[in-house]
Amino acid sequence: MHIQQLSLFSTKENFEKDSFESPLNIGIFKSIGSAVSKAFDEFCTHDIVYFDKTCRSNMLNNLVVKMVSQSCESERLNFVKTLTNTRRSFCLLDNKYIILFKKSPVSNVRTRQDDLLKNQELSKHVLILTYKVDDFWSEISKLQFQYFSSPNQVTYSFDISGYLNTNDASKNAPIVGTPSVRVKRKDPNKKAI
Amino acid sequence: MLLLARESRGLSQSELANQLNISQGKLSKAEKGAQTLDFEMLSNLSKITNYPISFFHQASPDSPVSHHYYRRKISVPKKTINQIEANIKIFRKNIDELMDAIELPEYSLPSINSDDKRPEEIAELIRYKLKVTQGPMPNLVNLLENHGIVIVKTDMFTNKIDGLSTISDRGVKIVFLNKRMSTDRQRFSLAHELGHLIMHFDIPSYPENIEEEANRFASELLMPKKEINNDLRFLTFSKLGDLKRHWKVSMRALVYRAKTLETINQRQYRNFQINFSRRGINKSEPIKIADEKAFILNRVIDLHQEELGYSLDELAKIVHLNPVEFRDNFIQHNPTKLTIVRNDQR
Repeated sequence: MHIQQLSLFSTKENFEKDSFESPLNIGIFKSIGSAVSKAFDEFCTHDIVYFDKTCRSNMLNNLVVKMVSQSCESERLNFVKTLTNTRRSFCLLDNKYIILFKKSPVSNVRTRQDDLLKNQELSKHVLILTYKVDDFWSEISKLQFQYFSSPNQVTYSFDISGYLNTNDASKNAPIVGTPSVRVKRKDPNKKAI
Repeated sequence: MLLLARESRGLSQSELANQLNISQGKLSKAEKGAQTLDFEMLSNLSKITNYPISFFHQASPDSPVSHHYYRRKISVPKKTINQIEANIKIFRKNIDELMDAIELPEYSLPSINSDDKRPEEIAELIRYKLKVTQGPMPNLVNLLENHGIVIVKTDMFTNKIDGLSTISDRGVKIVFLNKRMSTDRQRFSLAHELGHLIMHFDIPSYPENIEEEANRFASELLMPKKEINNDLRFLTFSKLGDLKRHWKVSMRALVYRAKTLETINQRQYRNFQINFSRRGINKSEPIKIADEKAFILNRVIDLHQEELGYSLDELAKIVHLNPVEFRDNFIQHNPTKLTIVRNDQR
């Protein structure tokens, strides 16, 4: 029964960890790491004090997708343009892996779509690029790919936190105005006695 | 100047006397002006202290140190305090020398007696004067420099002193900030020192109250009660990060403010303190606040070079410092070149 059903769809090969972690992909992972850092830096420039958790998570996720698509899109990494207006953004790596973006921890809320993705019921392997922010939202503390084999089971994860750019250089605060500092001039109306 | 030279280098009398190979008594007399030193001795002194010989031929600064206000921890050794005060006296004198040909923005903030108004009310008034009527205080260094206060970020040889305010012999208001501290701490120190300049410099005040008054002033200036009160309700650790980004003050300052405004109780305050220490963020907090660069001092040097034709070495000679120390002290960063503001109608 099971075999019959599978035969209706294109089958996929087993997920090979070594193939995914291949040195050929390292360049892509590095640029993803740097794009995620850039996204977080931009996120920090926004005043989010009065935003709720969901809103700020969406903001950050949108920025991550934007930055990764802007700086990493290439022949090997394609973002899928969707007209469906769903918020789920994803890209394809080598037309072999589907990569989704989520803030860690990945939600446990189950939907039909989520189940399809996490049960790997698609023709390509689905990996979720998860990023973890610390308690204060001060930095991205972990960046990794996760491979789910069922909604609650991660069978493989690959940590690429080492490719995050920790930007310690402090930024300069914008100025309100330039202080008027000048050389003292003699008053031309004052005549020498 | 001998005493200033020794103290500014953190040397005790016996240490310097040993290095000079003279008795401590002789050095003590020389410091008090009761004995002169020959050229060879001065030359040795110049080498040891790394000041040019001309440094020792200057008159000592007249004004006492009494007009100094510190934001500091109590446990700073006397020797460090002396070292800082000696350096500040030299710095202050140098600033006066350099301001001879320079016109600064006019100091336009009032002096207000804390007996007439509460520090919180004074802070509200100052926010109005600074034209920041609501929300977080923007670039405070820049704002105060625009109001004629010279701000100097310098090394204070210890992490236990945050800042210091003083008035030079020529009346220039100067705030020194310890550059070892984070920007959020520097902002609070600057607000604290501004409190001293407004409430305590021209007005006799009770020494036992002034630090507390300056702190209350700084808290209200940076975190006005009417605006922050709601933010500090139901305070949690995760909320602190957002509030820090928004108000540009440290998390510890926020928690202290919450305690003062009674949005958290004593037990909750203690829990926050325990958690700060458990998370190891007592000394270095997460989330960096954008750096606030001082402008005036750099501009003064630029004007001397561009308009008055001085070289850096010549300027170092004028203030009797060696060129390396002069650069370290006076060229605080490389700002973007700006055009000179001229008022041709004057």
